[in-house]
Amino acid sequence: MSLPKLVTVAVAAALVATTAAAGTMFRLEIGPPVAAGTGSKALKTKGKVVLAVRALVCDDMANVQISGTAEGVRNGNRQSLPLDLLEVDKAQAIYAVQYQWPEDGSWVLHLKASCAKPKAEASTLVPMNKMAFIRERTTVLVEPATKKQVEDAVKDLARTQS
Amino acid sequence: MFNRHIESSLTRYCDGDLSAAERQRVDAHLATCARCREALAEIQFSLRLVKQLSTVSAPASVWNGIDSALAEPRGSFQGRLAMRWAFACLLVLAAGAGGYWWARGPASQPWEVAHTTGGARRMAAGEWVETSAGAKARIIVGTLGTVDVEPGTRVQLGKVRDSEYRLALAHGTISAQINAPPRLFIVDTPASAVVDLGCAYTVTVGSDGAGELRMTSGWASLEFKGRESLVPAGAICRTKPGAGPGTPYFEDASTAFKSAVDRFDAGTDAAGALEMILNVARVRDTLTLWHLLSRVSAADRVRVYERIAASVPPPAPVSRDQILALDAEALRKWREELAWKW
Repeated sequence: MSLPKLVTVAVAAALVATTAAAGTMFRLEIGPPVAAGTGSKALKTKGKVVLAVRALVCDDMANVQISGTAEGVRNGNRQSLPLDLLEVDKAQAIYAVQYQWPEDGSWVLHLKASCAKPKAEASTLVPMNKMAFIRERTTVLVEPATKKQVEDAVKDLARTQS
Repeated sequence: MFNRHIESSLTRYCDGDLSAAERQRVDAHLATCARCREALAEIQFSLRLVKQLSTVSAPASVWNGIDSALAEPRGSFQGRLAMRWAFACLLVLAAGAGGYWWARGPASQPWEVAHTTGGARRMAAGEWVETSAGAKARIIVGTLGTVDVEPGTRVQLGKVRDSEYRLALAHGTISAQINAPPRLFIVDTPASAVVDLGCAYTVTVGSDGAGELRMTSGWASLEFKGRESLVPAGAICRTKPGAGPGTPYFEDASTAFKSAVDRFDAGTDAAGALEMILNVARVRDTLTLWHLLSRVSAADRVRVYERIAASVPPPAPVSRDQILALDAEALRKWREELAWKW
């Protein structure tokens, strides 16, 4: 096998291995409000729920910590607003995100989570189109998002929405 | 940095009683605190309600009571007691009359409608909102949200009961943006009822009564005589008079998939359509496949089950047999697991 072919095969194998490993690592998953459960008391009594988020692959789900910020650009000004998450099922680490950022501007939700056992951190960057999340542009990370990743996501969304 | 919550300053903030510096601090805090923004919204809503109250004159009998009490010798304990009672009655009556006025006024005309061609006015249940070509209107749904009425639309305002708001769309297009707990806002169409589950959407009804629900955020359900289709953001569901809601699908599905769903719902070449659906479905299209479970024959149900389970197996303890038997609880649990991919 020639060297270029060998390199290509090695890179492909590494990519496959990384993708497979990501599926077994602590991470966040987002979905529409219906994913949080139609029988959920929290969802029956609250409005403005735009998405649900849950943690995956943690031995101690009940103690998973999930928090988030809405990162946006509004009238040319960069803004960061803390998100209040609605607890849906603490034992399963399922939370709902209500609409709570300004109507104007471009907003990316930066959701962060930590698992105590095994010790791990994860994050997700969710670009929003007003009240709807853009699934195909959502970034799922098995580590905390870097400041650059957050800024790039905000800039990227602002560019496409301007 | 101003990190403490500022609920105690919000009333003075609304009344304009804060100094410029205080106001600036509150503005800065509000920009970063959802809890205080929510508290501010509640105060502003209460103020709007209070502004709707008018001054109510007390009945003559109350004034007579006060006069009699005043006429009694000063210093009499019974006289002072009577006067206090009369004053208390006056307050209770005034509050009652005010409350009655407030409850009666808006209740008889609970809808506020603004036309692009004219001003806003309150309207009663049973009245129709009609827009001509090129004209639009906006219906205020209490404190739940707004409904934009597109040109060439006819919609009837329904009764408002126990905070439930109901519209009937005869034909045309409306876009609703509702921020409320589920099932408080319902749009009846000739073919199905659109039940809001917290969302924004557009409903179109044609002259034949057939309709289309297009979700832009959140989710809603289309319901007709026990048949229900759940439609999350990004999905569409058609509905026909007599047949009720069709099978929902995501707008970004392939043309072949969408066309096959339409053929399946129309009953034209249902077998061929199902074959195509099963062949080209993506993981996200399990929205459609899940709805098909209860709409195909028992033999086809096995095929649909296998196709979904290949992407996302049912969560424990839901079993294959429960799904094939259309156990409602098992179906719900599987749907909630599948929905993480929708």
